[in-house]
Amino acid sequence: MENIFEIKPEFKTAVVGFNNSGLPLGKRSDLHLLAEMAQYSPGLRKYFVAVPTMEQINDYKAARFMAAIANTTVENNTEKTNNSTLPGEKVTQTMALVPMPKAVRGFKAKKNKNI
Amino acid sequence: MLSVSITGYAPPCSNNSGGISRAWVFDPADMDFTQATETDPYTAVALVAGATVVGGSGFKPIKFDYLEAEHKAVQSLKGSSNKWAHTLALQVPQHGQKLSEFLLKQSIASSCGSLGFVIEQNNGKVIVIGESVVNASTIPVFRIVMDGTEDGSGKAFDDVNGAKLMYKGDYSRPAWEYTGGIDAIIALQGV
Repeated sequence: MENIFEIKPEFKTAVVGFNNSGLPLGKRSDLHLLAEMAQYSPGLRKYFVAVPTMEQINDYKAARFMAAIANTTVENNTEKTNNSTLPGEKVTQTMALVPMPKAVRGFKAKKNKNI
Repeated sequence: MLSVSITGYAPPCSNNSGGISRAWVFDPADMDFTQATETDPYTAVALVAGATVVGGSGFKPIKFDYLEAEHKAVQSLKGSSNKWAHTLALQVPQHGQKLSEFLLKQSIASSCGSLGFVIEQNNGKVIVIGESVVNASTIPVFRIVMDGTEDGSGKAFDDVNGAKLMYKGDYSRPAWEYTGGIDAIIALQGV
């Protein structure tokens, strides 16, 4: 992913307190928040090589969110595949993540009792 | 149709202990706070151009006696003019040279300029009073000065030996909150 939040070299060691951190700007991984604030605070614009537009920031946030979801899905599937012993179990486990309505749970219990 | 703008107030229930946990004093001209709109909390803070912690800027901690600090903002109205009378009281220990030097600097700063404070409350919320620069622009003067401080030895063994610092200042509104996190304040801490 292209770095749209590039900090000017002279400000890499500068400290701006936000998002509960006071790390130097060169070490921050939440510069999208600073860029967002820079939209209305001119004092924060000086830190960026080029201040990204709100559209660029939103695109970045959306891409980050999708990447996080993709990672979570891959992790979950890997875990399930590793634990699976029966064919089709992966599907069953995925379904189990969705809370079952009470009526369905009752039906399942009764059905099991009959068996 | 209403001629005024009002809102309700219904914060989510949470632990809401009273008192102040930590306090810092700063030169209002040195710190630039970031705010989305005029009624939003401050979300970030940085040193203004040219100010450095090494050069003497930054947030200076004031270590006060445990649970001996209080901020108040009392509102009054005369005609259509609102006044918020801010006071900050802090009890600090050890009546002696170091305290005298601190008090002298505070009194000179009060006669020549003003002081800003960041106050972390025991409920976790952080408020700011006396700030001067917001979004790289100077806001209307929010002058907080030391006024009414008492420094002394006490009489009995269990009397207070130290100073009861008193800071006062009137403004057009109550204190704004800073939501950028206390770690950010500590990172900009000077001595």
